[in-house]
Amino acid sequence: MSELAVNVDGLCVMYGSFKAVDGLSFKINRGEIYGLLGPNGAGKSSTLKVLAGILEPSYGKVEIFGKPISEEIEVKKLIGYVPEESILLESLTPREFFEFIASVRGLSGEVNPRLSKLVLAFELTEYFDTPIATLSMGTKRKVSVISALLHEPPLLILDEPLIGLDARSSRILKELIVHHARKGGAVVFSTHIMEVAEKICHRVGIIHKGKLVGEGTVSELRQLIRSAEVSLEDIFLKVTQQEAGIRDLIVALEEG
Amino acid sequence: MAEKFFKLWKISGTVYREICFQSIFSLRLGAPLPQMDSDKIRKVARQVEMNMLVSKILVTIFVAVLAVMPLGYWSYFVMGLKLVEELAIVGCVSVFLASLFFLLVVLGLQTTTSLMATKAFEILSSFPISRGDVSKIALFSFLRIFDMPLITALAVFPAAFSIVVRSFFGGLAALFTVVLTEIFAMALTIGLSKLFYSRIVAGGGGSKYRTIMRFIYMLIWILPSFGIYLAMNFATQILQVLAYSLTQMSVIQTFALALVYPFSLGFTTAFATFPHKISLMHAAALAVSTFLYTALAYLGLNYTGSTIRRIGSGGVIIASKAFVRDLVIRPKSPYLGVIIKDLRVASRSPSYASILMLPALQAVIILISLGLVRIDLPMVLGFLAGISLMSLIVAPTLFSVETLASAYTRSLPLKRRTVIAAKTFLSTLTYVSCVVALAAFTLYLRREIFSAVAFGLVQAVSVTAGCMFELLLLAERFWKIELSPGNIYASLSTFVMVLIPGVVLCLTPMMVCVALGFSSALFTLTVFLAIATLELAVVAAVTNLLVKN
Repeated sequence: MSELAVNVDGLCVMYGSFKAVDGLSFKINRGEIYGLLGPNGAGKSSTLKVLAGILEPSYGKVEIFGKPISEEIEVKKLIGYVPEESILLESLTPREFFEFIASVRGLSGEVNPRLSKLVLAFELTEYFDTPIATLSMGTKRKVSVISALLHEPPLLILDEPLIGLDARSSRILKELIVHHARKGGAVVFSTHIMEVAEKICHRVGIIHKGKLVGEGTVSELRQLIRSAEVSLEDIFLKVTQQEAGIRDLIVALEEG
Repeated sequence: MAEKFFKLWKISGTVYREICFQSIFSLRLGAPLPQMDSDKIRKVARQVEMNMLVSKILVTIFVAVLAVMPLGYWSYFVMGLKLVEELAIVGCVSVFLASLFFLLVVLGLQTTTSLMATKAFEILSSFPISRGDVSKIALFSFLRIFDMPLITALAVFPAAFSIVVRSFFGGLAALFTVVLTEIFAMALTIGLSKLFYSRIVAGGGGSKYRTIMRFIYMLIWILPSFGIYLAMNFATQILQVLAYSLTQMSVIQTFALALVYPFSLGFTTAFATFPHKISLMHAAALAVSTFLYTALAYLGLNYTGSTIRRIGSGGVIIASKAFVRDLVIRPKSPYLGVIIKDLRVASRSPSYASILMLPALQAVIILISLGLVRIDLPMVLGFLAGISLMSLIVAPTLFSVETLASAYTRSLPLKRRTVIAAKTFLSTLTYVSCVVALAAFTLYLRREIFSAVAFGLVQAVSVTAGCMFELLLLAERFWKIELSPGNIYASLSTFVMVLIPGVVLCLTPMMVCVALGFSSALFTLTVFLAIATLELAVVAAVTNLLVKN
């Protein structure tokens, strides 16, 4: 399998006449955790949907472990995807949903020990036979996460994976992400939580209006904006040109 | 006061549009809308509103027609059957009330279940609106589901009754019976919706007991739709049988009938119209039954009000933790996985289940007719055509299950060929099951069984071809352009365009046989089989060619 886990070159995604992703290029290696940052509507989710095979790119080249995205089935076998919203087959119970996922992925009963460990780790046991429709947002997110991890995919695509998770589950997921990369897997995830990105990502890419406006390790990005001490949040606001005016806006709001 | 009423009524319009949107699109199964630009979203929202309005207008027209139709039989009852006038009134009023009851329940079920699930009231509660006003908005939203048919029934039936029977007091009594029926229908609608939501959506799960319970609740939920479908098919026969039965009844039997809804309300109207013609015994029975039904309506009204108040305050939905026996799953092949998932999803959504049961319903209607008509080959082919056409609706409905949660499931390595094969198998299976039932019943009636079995099974080949072609068209559309999620109710135009070629494929062998005449059953069967096999071979080859994985 290729050392390059993800290769995106000149990706464009159009919704009608609206260009959500505009000529995006980036690479992710095996063993790497890549954070995709950007303001709301920047094109992060659209990019991840293309990687997950849900959206077809309008233009551009996308390869997963050297396979073009057009080799749909082969590529999808290599990925585990957690969507931004936990949209699942809500009339099914988690047990039935996992059974469906495992059937489609061609898994056998051997998956059960791993499933049990994941269910216990994310404290889903008591909801295992409860219809997904009645679960809270956080519990649905746990179902999504377990579905993505069930088949131990070499590439994890996680769209805002920590939203709705409780502190314990968040910690477990972060540890699992790090462990996955250590074992040689690759992870690409979007987040708005800068602290998390700063802590666990090897590299981050900052997207603004569909374009990559900054990429590298946190220290490389610090060099980019010529400031040695700033946080990832400051870097983010600077490269997405959102920093200017924030102070004035806050003062205006405080003055009522 | 009036200003506040209009303000709350206006807000309820927004809530009503939202629950219509949810009932049409998500069908309470968490389907997402595909990413669209704002023009397309506006277009979709307008289309939803239009669909709901059309559906409400259609039901209103049905109500108006049904309000007049039984009274049209008045002269037939009185002159033709020589039925006494008061019993003719019982017949006309009872048939209308039963029809109105079923129509209102059918109209309300789908949307009211969304009312149970909507988060709109939670959002309203966070605004500076009192709890009482939120409850009123919930009540108005509920009434908006029925407004046009309710008003039409209240206006048309009493007016038509007064004019045809020429009785003012009879008209007033008719108005009273319509009010009671509307309250019963609304109470049943909200009761069934609540039952559906708490026992089916919230109470699913894996145990056999729960599966059986879910099936029973689903049947209860769907029965009113079937009732109205059967009533529409056999309306004239029902009226005639009822009128004939009334002429044959003894005094004791009519006395007993005066206690049973909707006949008791028919008797009440008859009493108000011709008070001098009703015996003392009947009058006493009527007084008791009218009191009981009025009390029941009062309770129904209270129940409806309190349930709606609870919806407004967010207290209806109860999530229950189920006892978990183990954490073991039993994965199957992808093909079986899709079939099992489809059956599970369809069995928990009345909108899907009702469509899946259409071939069975058509078979029931045929089975009822079997006792009445002489069976020959053209008749058998006609029956098979009916069941086949219903099965052709099943295939796209099953495909639409695939669009639910597609924002996630499209990331799975699911081969399109597997999807098409699994859904073709399930659709054909519904058809074959009906043919088997038809053949068994024909055998039971000791009629000639060869043509039903032979042509029924050969037609299965043609049904397979039709379903496969429909699925091919949908699959191509679904994976290339994002198809709107939801079922046939949500995107009728897409489904119609897919159904037409399916119907053509399915009916071609029959049409050729009709053109050839029915000189020899064996020859006709051979031609039928040859065409059906050719169709399936061509469709399978095209599917193989176009669907790469």
